[in-house]
Amino acid sequence: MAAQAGSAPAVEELLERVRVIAHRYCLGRLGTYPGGVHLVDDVAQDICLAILAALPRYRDRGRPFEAFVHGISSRKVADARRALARHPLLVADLPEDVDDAPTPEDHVVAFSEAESAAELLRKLPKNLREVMVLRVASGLSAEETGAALGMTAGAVRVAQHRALVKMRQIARYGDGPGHD
Amino acid sequence: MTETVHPVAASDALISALSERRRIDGADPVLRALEAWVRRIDAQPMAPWTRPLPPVAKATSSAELARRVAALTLALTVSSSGLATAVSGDPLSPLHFVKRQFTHLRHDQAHRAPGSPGDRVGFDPRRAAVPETSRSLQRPDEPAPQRPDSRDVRRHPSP
Repeated sequence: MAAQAGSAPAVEELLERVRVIAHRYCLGRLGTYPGGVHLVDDVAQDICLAILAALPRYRDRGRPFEAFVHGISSRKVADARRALARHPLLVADLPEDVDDAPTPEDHVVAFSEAESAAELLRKLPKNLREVMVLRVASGLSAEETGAALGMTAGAVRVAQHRALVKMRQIARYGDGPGHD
Repeated sequence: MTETVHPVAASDALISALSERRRIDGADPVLRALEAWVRRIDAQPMAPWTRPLPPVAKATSSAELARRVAALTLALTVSSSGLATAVSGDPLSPLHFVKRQFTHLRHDQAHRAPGSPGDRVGFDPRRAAVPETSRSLQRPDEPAPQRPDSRDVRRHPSP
């Protein structure tokens, strides 16, 4: 890998790609927690820096690159969530600069739907939620998700099917509190 | 004829459409919610990069390896020199010791007489194989040493 050899353009290209995936992953994992959205950019940059720092060790571990990135990302997100639980981010009740522009109704509905999706995902078991976040939020293929999580692509397809069925059940009949 | 689609394959097609940011038709509220969630994630702008990038270390290059070996050698030399200073008061005492040994060895080689056990030309391996003590015991012109008899011990009563 050229980035491992220290090639500046290769490092930049890798960083751009990883940063988009990390940003989406952080939004998928942290966006469901109060105050989590405010940490997303910081955590995504932390992930990129940790990947760059650990890049020379990557080949020695003999794991797929997706698994290497996912291992670092999930640890960083878990750290951020623990920090969020210990020291909740204080935000003002009402923002100072209120947008006076009229908000279209469909934006409100979309926001509500997105919130309900986040809530449904939060109630999934951890392994199924991880599959859905990587597959839907990060936009990875079944093969890439499998490489990241140490599963086969077939197992990923079965897991995402089970997640979808479970989400439909929860939406219809309700469920207890989330799995976190 | 109706085409039957396996439920897992059907779910995969829907999830793949969401993953590739394609529009999904249908009235499934869960899929609509997931679509809205994905749209919200994509609409969230990324903040500009604010941190300095660390240099990527080239751990596998030969130059890096040579640099590490040199650093390790220097560290070992410095630490052994420090140890020698602590023991003998002279930081160069290990070098002096090696020099002394070398000089002594050369001196031995120069003064070794021909035919001596160290001289390989006049060396007799059969003679050298018998130890000195054994040779003294096996000399035919000397009487064999007397061994104390166990009966003699019995004759003298113990005090």
